[in-house]
Amino acid sequence: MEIRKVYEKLGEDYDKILERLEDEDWIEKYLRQFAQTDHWRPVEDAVNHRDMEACYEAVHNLKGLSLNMGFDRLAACATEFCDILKQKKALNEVLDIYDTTLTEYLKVEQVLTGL
Amino acid sequence: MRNTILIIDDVEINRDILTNILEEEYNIITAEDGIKGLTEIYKEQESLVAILLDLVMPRMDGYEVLAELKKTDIMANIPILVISTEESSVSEQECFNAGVSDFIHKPFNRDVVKTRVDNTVNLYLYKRHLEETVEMQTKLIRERSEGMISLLAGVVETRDVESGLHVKRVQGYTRILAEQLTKKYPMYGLDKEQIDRIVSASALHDVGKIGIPDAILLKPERLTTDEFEEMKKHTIIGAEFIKTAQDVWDSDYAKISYEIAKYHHEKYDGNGYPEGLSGEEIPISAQIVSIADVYDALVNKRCYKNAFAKEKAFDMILRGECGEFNPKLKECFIDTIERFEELADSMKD
Repeated sequence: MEIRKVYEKLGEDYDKILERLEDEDWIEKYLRQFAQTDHWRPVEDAVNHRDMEACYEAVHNLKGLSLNMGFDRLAACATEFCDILKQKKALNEVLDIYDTTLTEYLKVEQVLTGL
Repeated sequence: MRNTILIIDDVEINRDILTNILEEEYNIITAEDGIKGLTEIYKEQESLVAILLDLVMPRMDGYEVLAELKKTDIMANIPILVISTEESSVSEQECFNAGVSDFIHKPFNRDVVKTRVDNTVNLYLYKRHLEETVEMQTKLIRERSEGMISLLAGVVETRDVESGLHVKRVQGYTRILAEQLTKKYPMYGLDKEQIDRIVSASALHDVGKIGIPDAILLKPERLTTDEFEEMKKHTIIGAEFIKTAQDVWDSDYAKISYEIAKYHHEKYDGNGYPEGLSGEEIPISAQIVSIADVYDALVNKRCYKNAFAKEKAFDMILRGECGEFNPKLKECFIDTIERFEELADSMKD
């Protein structure tokens, strides 16, 4: 699948990331690299272990990575998730944002399988 | 060899993007957490021109890396740019307080990253170049100042006023006293460089004697009152002489040489000359050289007197028979008398 199509399917702006990084080959390489790793696993593991600090680190990483990859919807969810985790809320208070972020993540994962 | 940049970030894609942006210009090394990052910094610090540091990382985060580096002088030599997703100005301020040079914000923009890194590196390289130039120039000025002092000390020596060994012994006693003084009384603020300057400049304490007529300078008997008044002028003559040359040598050397030449006959109780200064009004450099000079004059033969035994010279100085000295310096003199005597024995006329 064409790289531009990936972004279109995700509802993201391909021109924006191309303007930032100026190299289609790089973007394709990073997309393939992104698809090879389960970026949600560290978030899930941290939540399963009730380790909110590790959860923050994992979501924070996902936020930075999504911003760099031009996955702005996922980045927006991760940012909100981070903000809530920063307020040191209890696990049951983060479940909603956990689900929303996971939904966005799975969408990205799904589209990238078509690469 | 190309300049090296270290990227410390736990996310592989982030490291790869930064590497791709910068590898054309720089040699890139990467580390995936703070601990590995620190190891690379210590290992590669000679070739590093910048460190790109992520803040949120496992094992050791960016803040901890900064705290570790603050214990060293590495941040004075290698600029750090923080890779940040934080929008909060508080954390940026924290980073600046910790010595960070700049920030690279996510999402990365190729041109912005490149420009920020280049600017920081260029500024740092320019700073390093300036520091090296200043260091080289300072060394040159110091060498010239020391050359000037040797030259002038040589002039005094060839006029047969004092033996060359007198000058060397006074330098030796001056160092012994100055080092003991700074150990015991650090409030005088004499660091190693300042002591080196005082020791070097002490060679010029009697430079003014080249302006004193031979009939007085080399007179084998006691001087008359008028002759002694004339002799006293060597302090002023020496100081003026040094003052005329002050623009051509390092200002610290010029100042200390001037103080020593002018005030090395002042006494702590105000009974010295040429100005009758007392106590701490007398520059400490001149106070130190004064004891060194008096001790050497006592334990050696002069055209107007025989040598005193070292024990006698010691007592005379402590009892104030050669004028009153700073009590703190007298303590230092007592502490180091064995070294004074060793030096006197090892460099006899």
